Amino acid sequence: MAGPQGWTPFPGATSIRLSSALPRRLAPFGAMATPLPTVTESDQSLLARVARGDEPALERLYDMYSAALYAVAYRISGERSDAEEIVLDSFSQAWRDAPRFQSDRGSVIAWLTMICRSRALDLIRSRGRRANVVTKAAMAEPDATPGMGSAEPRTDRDVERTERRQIVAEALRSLSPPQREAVQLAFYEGLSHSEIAERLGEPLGTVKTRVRLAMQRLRDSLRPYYTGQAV
Amino acid sequence: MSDGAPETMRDLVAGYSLGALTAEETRAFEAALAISTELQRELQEYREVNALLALAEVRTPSAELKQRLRERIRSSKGATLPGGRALGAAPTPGRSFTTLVMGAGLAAAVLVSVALSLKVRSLTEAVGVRDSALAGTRQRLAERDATLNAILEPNVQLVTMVATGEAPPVAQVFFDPARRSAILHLFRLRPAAAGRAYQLWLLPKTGNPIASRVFNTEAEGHGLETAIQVPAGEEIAGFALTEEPAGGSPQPTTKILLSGLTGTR
Repeated sequence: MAGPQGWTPFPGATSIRLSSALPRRLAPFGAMATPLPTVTESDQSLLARVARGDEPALERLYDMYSAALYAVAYRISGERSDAEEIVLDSFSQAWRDAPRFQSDRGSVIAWLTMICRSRALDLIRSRGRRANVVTKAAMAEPDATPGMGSAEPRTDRDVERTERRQIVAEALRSLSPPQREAVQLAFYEGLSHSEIAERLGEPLGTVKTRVRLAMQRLRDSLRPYYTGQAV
Repeated sequence: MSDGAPETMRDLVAGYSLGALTAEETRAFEAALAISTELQRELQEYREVNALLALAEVRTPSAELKQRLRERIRSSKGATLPGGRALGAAPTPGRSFTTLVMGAGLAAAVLVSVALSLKVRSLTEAVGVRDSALAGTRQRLAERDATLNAILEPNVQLVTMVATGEAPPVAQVFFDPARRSAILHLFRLRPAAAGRAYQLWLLPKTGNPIASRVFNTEAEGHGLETAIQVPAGEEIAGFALTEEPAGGSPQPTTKILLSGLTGTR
């Protein structure tokens, strides 16, 4: 190889090449042109108040979202008492971590959902058990009007949320039955890819692909409802 | 995709958002996530999807749960006594002894409460410090994983630069021509003197050296410089290292300390 011109040549330079058989750990990332979801003023404002130690603001968030988070926690844990502890821990964590919430990184409910699911998954995995009691419910067709009650009075916002639930149910119905089953096992029961594969008796790779494609489809279907809008 | 086949990090985003990955997959993904804004953005999208899925079903918790939350929050704040209004009620006339005893008891309760609140605050602060330390450790691990991943890229070339004089330092450059980036790893190179620094030079096949990273080594002579960018359009034939003024130089002003050629595949 020719050396660079106009400078001192290299003395005794050596070169070593890494084997091309090494596993590829990082792949090129395609462009993601999707705009970041924005945050509703009311939720963001409430969380800002929570960050300042405002208890009524936390209670308001609880009124708005505890029923949804409790449903998730219950579906994953399968026990009412566990689900309540998970919700309690989630809002307690929100109380502590509110000052660190970054509004440009997503919505308040996405943040709360992430906290709640993480706690629920931690709980069931630490106990090594699974909530089989909800399996049949997870397999069932999603209701057109899901919901078992609300923790707050009916408002315009409730109507909006009911419509959104119908949209989500519709998006779930648009998936193929195997895709829907895989997503519901992953999301509502908190099963890992390998656990889903074991449960369904399917190859792991098939399950991974199924979950990924289903989530991509849900993302594409639901994008108008979380991009730039209140959740 | 098949079992055991290499997966791109983007393939793992949805599974990560669901908590469905293995520990190894999670570790690899988080390392990539730490340095990729695109992955961070995509992950946030899936978290919004998850939130909508959560909102698709509601189930009312027990009415007591809200009160339990209230009590837990107040105990964490440590400054508010549940039912504090009752503590402030006026004493009943004609029951001075009882009132005195109750007052003393209440005063003791207040003192105990204050002491407990101080203890809670102290413990909370301690937890905060540990959380912060843990976050720092995780960040460092993620950075190291990211560096390791970059080094393990299949097309990465390793260039070892050898000393021109009697000094024994060794430098390795992990150069990825496809990504136009490099990682520099140094051993036994004493830190440059005050007001001085080391500077890496990219050596094009034709033309003058291209000024690159200015840095210094650690006290024991170790150095690791990551994410060194190589300008697009330049075919790099090698790397060299010189000692320069602390701010770096547009062209080398001292003799080469270390140099090496890129390998050929």
